[in-house]
This record gives sequence, structure tokens and C-alpha cells, in this order.
Amino acid sequence: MSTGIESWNVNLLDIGPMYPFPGTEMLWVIIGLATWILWHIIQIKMENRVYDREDAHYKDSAVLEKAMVLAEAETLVESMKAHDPENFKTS
Amino acid sequence: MSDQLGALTTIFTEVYYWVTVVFMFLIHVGFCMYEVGASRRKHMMHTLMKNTMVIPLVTVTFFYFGWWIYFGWINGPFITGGVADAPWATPWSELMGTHMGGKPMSDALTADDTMGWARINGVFWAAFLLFSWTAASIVSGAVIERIRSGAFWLLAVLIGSFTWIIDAAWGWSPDGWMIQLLGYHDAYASGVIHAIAGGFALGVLVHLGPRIGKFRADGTPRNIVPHNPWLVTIGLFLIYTGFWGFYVACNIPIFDIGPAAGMSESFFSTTNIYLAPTTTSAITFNFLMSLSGGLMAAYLISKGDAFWTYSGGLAGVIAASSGNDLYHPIQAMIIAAVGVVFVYKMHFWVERRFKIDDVVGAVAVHGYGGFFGVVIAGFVLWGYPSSMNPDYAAVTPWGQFIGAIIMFFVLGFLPAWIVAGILKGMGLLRIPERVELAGLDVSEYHGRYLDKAEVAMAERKEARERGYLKA
Repeated sequence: MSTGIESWNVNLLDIGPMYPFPGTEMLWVIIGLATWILWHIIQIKMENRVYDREDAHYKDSAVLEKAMVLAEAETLVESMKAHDPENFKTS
Repeated sequence: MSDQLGALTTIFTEVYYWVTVVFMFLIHVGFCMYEVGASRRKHMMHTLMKNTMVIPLVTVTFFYFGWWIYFGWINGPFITGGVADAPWATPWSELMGTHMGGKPMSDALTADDTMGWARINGVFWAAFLLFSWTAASIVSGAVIERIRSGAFWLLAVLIGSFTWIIDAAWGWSPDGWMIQLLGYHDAYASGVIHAIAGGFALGVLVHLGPRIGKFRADGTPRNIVPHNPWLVTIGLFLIYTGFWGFYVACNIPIFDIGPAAGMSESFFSTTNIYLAPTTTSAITFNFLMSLSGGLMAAYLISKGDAFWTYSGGLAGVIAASSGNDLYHPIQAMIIAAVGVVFVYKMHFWVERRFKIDDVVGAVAVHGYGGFFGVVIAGFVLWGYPSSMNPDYAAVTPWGQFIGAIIMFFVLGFLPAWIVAGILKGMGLLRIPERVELAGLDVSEYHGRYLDKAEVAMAERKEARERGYLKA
């Protein structure tokens, strides 16, 4: 059983491709192209789901307001205040 | 590879391109830092991931079709001929893999093909690929904080593995139709990379629109301040560094140009991409002098603004790049300085006039700077041969002007405008407004900020429960 090269003790000038399964290149290209297209399809569906969910979440203006305050926080203390103002006061 | 001198030349060339690729990686690192620094905190991780994923997506597609286009489409096709044979560059070619250069399996390949390409193909492919990343990455900075990643990645593949490599086939190869008919000369890619990427970014921005809050009610722009100016400047330093690698990657290190010059003996030289003579020393002079001209002019015109001074250094190099294989260093410096003034003025005029929100000035620095560089080379290098082939057109102002139009508008702006328009029509181009306002990193589901605050609050709660803090 050999997937490609069987010995290096040959005339090296005769060696061409060194990868396993030479002759199957077209099959790998088809697999590669399909994988690439599939990746975009999965990614776009995934991203759409996330944005739909987030957009629905932020329809509550109080939630959006809190997120915007949090987004503008420059420090961890500001983030904590924005996240949980009531408990922050007691700490 | 049984002749020592031949082996030395071949393996030196192989390693030479490999080194350029490693240097050019810094361009992408620099662009990522620049964009993350320029974004606001609420968007920065999303901004980073958007540009990071350019690497795998453009790499695989450049393997599948980009590399073949460079060799196959030099005639247009159908302008100066049909589709050219390039059996070493098809993705199913045995030479697109580990190969010792021995007898080919495929009838499409000759023994000369395998000997020549077995060791150079991968590194030469990678050098071009790093240009592809750069083209996409230039666009990335212009559109941050509101484009959907999925849309951007499709656009990145469009420019990185399709449109830019068409322009390289046409105007950045020894026998491209633009060299043959227009005498197009663009040694370090003012048009071939920068003008096309700037035009492409503009085509996307027209459909994408500005960030919420960018323009006042009276139409004047607000300055949305980078969250980390230090990161922006370090990013630009890294882009400069990678640009050195880019410059040497545009050359062939050792090539016998004697026969093409009509000499009876060999004459080994470094050449530009058109296989015409230059030296690494020349481009080192000119890179540094054009960088300096750009920095000095940008400092003055922006009144010492760090962002524009750094960008001006880059714009200066871009403005001189078309002819930096041949210019005198002081010519390169002056061209760079004039180019930067043009870039700076154009950026703010377009921003005010057309309400274009180009976050990092990519359209200006790369697009207008590249366009300027191609056109100015037509005047300064007027009458120079565009290649070693005496039958091809010489460099002219009109040839360069047409070339600049092809780069910026035909292969840059137009495809981006069409595809971005389609994505917009499908609702896939821009993120929802509420998500943009909240921040791409600040959300219920990707709440890095929330997580951080929640953990900090939990620590305090547990500290109180353990009696380390007052209740």
C-alpha cells in the first residue's frame, strides 16, 4: 500500500508531484470550492439570525438605552455602574 | 537542479519571495491594528474579526481561481488575444502543490514548466496573495462600524481574488494588454493595488452610507474620534514596514535581461514586474524619499495632526509608486509631497460634498493617491519604454490616464457599486440601526462588556458573602 512516494533512493530528477494521491487534484478542487461556498452560506445565515435576535432585543428602548450607556463606558467601573447600578452602590 | 549556480539562483529566488511574504504579513497586522484603533470601543472586536477573516477567504479563493486569472487573462481576454494557457496555475495543476520539478504527469505541462515553476509557484503565488489581502484590507478600513461581515467578506473575495488580479493581468505583467497598447507603467502598484482598492471602497460606501451621527443636520461632518490613536499610529508604522516587503516583492531578484535587450551575452539584473531593469538600491532610495516627502507635506497641510501625518507618509509612497523604479529620489520626494496635498484636499471635499464617511481615509490615501501616482508617472516618464519589447507602446500621459481610469473606476468603483447595490437590495449590506447604536460588541449575546461587568459585580458579591467587604 502506498499513497504516493515509495522510496527516495531513485533518480531525484524523475520525481514530480510529492503529495499523496496524485491524479485526484480535480476532486480536491471540487471539495474545496464547495466548502468555500458552503462557508459563506452558513456564515450569512448565522449572522442574519444573530442580528434579527439582537434587533428584536433592542426594540425595548430601555434595553437599548442601557446598552448605549454600557457602550460608552470607558472603564470597568463605568461598565459595572451601567450593568447593575443598584448593586454597584452597595459595593 | 544538478547545476550549482542554477540551483543557487532558483533557491535564492524562492527564499527571496518567501521573505517578502513574511514582511508583507505586517501590512495586514498593521491594517488590523489601525482599524481597531480607529473604531469605537463598542465595535472593536467585530472590526478586528472582519479584517482577520479576509486572510482565509481570500487565500482559498486566490488558490481556486485568482492565480490562474493572472496568467490566463493577460489579453483581456479578447483585446489582444484569447485566454492564455497557464497550466501551472490552474488549481488542479500538479504544480500547485509539493513538486520536485521532475517529469510532469500531465500532458498540459512541459518539462520546462515543471523545472521553472516547481520551486517558484508557491512563493510567487503567496507574494501576489499578500497583495490580494492588502486590496481587501484597504476596503475594510473604510467601511467599519456598520457593514455586515458576511457582505464584506463577499466583497473582499470580489476584489482580492477577482478584480485586482484582472488588473494585474492587464497592467502588471510583462505582456498584459495595457502594457502592449497603452504603455501602462505602474511598477509598485499605485493603480494596480491602491487606486483599484480606493475606487472599490468608494463604490461600497455610496451604498453603505455614513455611520449614524457622522453628519450634523446642516451636513457638516463630525469627527468620530478613534478609541485608541496610539494603536492607529503603530498600525501605520507596521504598514510602512510591510510596504518595504511589498516593494521588493514587486521585483524579480535575478533575471537575465541580456537576450531581451538584444545583447549577445547574458546580463543579470534585478527587474521590475515588467522584466525591465531596476535595482533594489533604487527602490530603497525612492521608498524612503517618497515616505519622507509624504510625511513632511502631510504634517504641514494637516497642521501636525498625527492621523493625517501618518496617512500622508503612506499616501506619499503610493503617489510615487508607479515610477519609483526609475525616478530620482528627489523627484520621488516632490511627487509624494504634491500627491499628499491632492489627497488631503480631495478627502475633505468629497466628504463634505457627497457625505461619504470614509473612516480611515482609504479612498483618499489609496484611491486618489494611487490615481495621482499613475497619472503623474505618465508625464515624468513620458517616452520611456514600458517593457523590454520594442513593439509595445511607450509610456505617455494619455496611456497612464486611461490606465488610472481603468483601475479606479472600471475595475474598482464599478464592480463594487454593482455588487454592494445587490447586497443592499437583499438587506445584507448594513447592520440593523439599533445594533449599530448599541455597538457590535455590546449586546445580549456577544456581551463582552456585560460579561466583564457581570464578573466584576459577582466578585464583589462573593467578597461580601465571605466577609472581605462590608455588606
